[in-house]
Amino acid sequence: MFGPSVYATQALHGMVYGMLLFLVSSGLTLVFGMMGILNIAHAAFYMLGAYLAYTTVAATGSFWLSLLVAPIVVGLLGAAVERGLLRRIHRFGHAYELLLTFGLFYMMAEAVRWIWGNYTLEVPTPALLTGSIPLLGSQYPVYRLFILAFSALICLAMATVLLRTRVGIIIRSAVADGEMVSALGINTPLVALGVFSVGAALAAIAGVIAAPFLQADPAMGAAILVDSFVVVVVGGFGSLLGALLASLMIGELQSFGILWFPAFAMVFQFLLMAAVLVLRPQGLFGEKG
Amino acid sequence: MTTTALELRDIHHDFSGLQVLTGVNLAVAPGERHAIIGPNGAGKSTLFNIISGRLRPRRGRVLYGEHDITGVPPHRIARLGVGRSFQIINTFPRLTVYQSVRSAVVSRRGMRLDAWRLLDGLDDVARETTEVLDLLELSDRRDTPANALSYGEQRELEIALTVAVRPELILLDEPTAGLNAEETHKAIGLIRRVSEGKTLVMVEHDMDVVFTLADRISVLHYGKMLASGPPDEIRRNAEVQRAYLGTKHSVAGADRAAG
Amino acid sequence: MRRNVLIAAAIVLLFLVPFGLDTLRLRVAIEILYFGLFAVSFNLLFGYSGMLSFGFASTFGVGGYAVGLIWKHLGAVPLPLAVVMGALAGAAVGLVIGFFCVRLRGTYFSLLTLAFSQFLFAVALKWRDVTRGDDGLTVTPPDLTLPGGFVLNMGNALHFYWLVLTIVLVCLWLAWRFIRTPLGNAALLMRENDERAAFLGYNVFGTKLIVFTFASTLAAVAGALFASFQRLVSPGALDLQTGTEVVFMALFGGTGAFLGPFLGTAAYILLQNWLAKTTEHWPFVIGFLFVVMILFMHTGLVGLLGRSGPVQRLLRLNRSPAEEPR
Repeated sequence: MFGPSVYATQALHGMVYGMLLFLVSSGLTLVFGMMGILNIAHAAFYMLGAYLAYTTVAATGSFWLSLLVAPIVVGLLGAAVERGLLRRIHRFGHAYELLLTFGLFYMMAEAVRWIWGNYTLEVPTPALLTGSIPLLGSQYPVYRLFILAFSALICLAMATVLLRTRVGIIIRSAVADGEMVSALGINTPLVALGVFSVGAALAAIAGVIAAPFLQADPAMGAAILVDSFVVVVVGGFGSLLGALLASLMIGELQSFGILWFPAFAMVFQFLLMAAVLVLRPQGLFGEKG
Repeated sequence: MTTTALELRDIHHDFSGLQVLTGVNLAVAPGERHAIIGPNGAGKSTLFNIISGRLRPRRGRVLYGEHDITGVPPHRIARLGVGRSFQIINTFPRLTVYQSVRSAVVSRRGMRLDAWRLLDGLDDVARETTEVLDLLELSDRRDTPANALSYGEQRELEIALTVAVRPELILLDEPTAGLNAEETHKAIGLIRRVSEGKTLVMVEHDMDVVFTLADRISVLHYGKMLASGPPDEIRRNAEVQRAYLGTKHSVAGADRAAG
Repeated sequence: MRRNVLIAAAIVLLFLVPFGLDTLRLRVAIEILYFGLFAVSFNLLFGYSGMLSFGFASTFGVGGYAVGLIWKHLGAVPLPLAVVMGALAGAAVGLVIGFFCVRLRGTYFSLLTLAFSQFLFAVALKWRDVTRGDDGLTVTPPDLTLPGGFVLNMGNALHFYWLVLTIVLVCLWLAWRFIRTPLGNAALLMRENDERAAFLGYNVFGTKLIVFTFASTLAAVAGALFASFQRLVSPGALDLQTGTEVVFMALFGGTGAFLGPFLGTAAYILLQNWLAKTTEHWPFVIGFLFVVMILFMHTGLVGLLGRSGPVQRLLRLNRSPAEEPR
């Protein structure tokens, strides 16, 4: 009933969303792996990124500047949340940490409505990336290809840092065994702080590059929140590779779900998450449960 | 025809390929106080976890009396009359001493799923709980939450929880770990009292405790039982001396400092 | 006993409350009653058993849909009977969801409960033939004739208040009794250290499943009362927003005391009503207060009341030491 070019375009759509989702989920899964905290407020960082992009573009006209401003602001905010709030209640256990980030998300989502209004704000596509090019038998917007390329670049940068640098080794060991790393005399609280705020900054970057494509919308946080949970669970405890594959999987699942079963597209990822939690709680690529 | 309280047959276990136990055999007679000793990393805790159902061995069988309890879940093993303590304090942090021990007593009486009778109205449970607290000299701390107890008291609570289910087989995992000389002395008396007429298997680093309490000793060395026998025999065993006892004091001291 | 006198006095007072309230306030009082029951049942799971559910709205919604469908298809079933049937539906759904969820711990448990509630939300939204989707299902409770011939008129807020109060009190009594039984004690063990409990002979899976099912049953009762009162049940009854509100209510009041969540519900609803008149951004204030609570006031509102006094004696029908750090 659909031509091959429709499938190809749909697959590309899925990849674009999948990569955005990965940018958001990467920080989430690393923090979860290192600190055991599923940071619900993470999705608000993403939304904040999109709104900061709107404001920066409105004020200066430069999209590229916002790609610098948003991650810095949100990264600092992330650091403040980790140092000032989360660490305070660490001794009360994970349930309270989870509840705290839950409250923060709720608060920030409403703060965004308060500051920017309860409606969708359009962020113009940067002039350089407007228009479409013929691709796989149809016209495809250049900007979405940019999202793909840009997030792939960040993904590569992240992989390089994690696999090739000393900091990367420390982070990976901290995910695998935090106590061991701090027993070796490495300042794990500092590493945690770093990962938390860099994760927040990455979420903000995702928000910025999503803005011209999805627009800045007060509901965008809640929308990606649940998807990124699914990614963390499906990909596995603290596994970046898992998060990447799970993100692409969710992207495609949604993309084709809408095409084939529009009525049930929204339950697919929940069924997937439920299936993974029931059958393989450690996730597809996680090692510990 | 059963002559053993606990029997291990050819137990093998590994952690992601790292061999920890390689064919352990052990037979403990009813009423015996049996100590398992061995250097750190010998697999003692793994062995305990296998006996109590926390781990399922890769190979081999665990027999408790006439029950084959290999791979049986912990709560079923506990209900058969096996009680265990833990090397790292493992209590109910925010419950009081009384509430904790009472929970064990309730379990022993098979009232775990009773959703009708009120716990406070059960006089015989209260009486039995008080008895256990008296036996372990914890009565004056009965209303203190477990996480507010001193370290030594937490160790006593560990043992109290273990014996309050009135197990026939008591498994104690380093009951004197981290205790000072005086507390250790007290613990020895206590363990002797609570294991009266029961079978006791304990993992212990402190050789004074081991040689004071144990009727038989088994030496676990890198995944295998090196020797098993009465204390004197173990003390004289050349192989054991080479592997472990030869440097008795330094080994025991170092272990205690590390644990 | 003095406490029994206090409780009796409080109950009599609760039945007399409507005479001091206008219809509008009476409606708020009814809302507090069933949401309070919802929050208390949430706390059986969280405060007592250590299981933080983000999808607790599932069975609340199921209870609501159950009574709606009963009255739509089975005619004038008396409200108490319909509520019991709704509770059974909640128990059945709770048993199924719990079967999958209680094996998991911590964050994983929270996420799976969330997944189930989202799934049920989608079902309620899309299965239009049964649920009427977005429009919601109209709920029409029939008038109830009491044994003495007195007729409780469902359109009369006063009559409805008495009915809801009676049902809620019965449920609270059941819950209160439950936590003081050996099984209720086992629930505490699950929160404190489920592994050690297993080595004492407790079946962790079984215990958690029973508690989960019981809490779900009470939540379904609350949901059934909610739907009967609103005369409508829509997918919103089992979405994340409802699941969020119950978390707020319970924690505002304090999860360490049996009736803490009930107090929290009253405070939350009154605050929300007042804030909504003051600012349209009331969720921000609620979120802010919640964060401050989590940071500085673990014990919730009941913690403010101190540890002695008559109010305290009433609220702390059973003290649970949950307010202490681990």
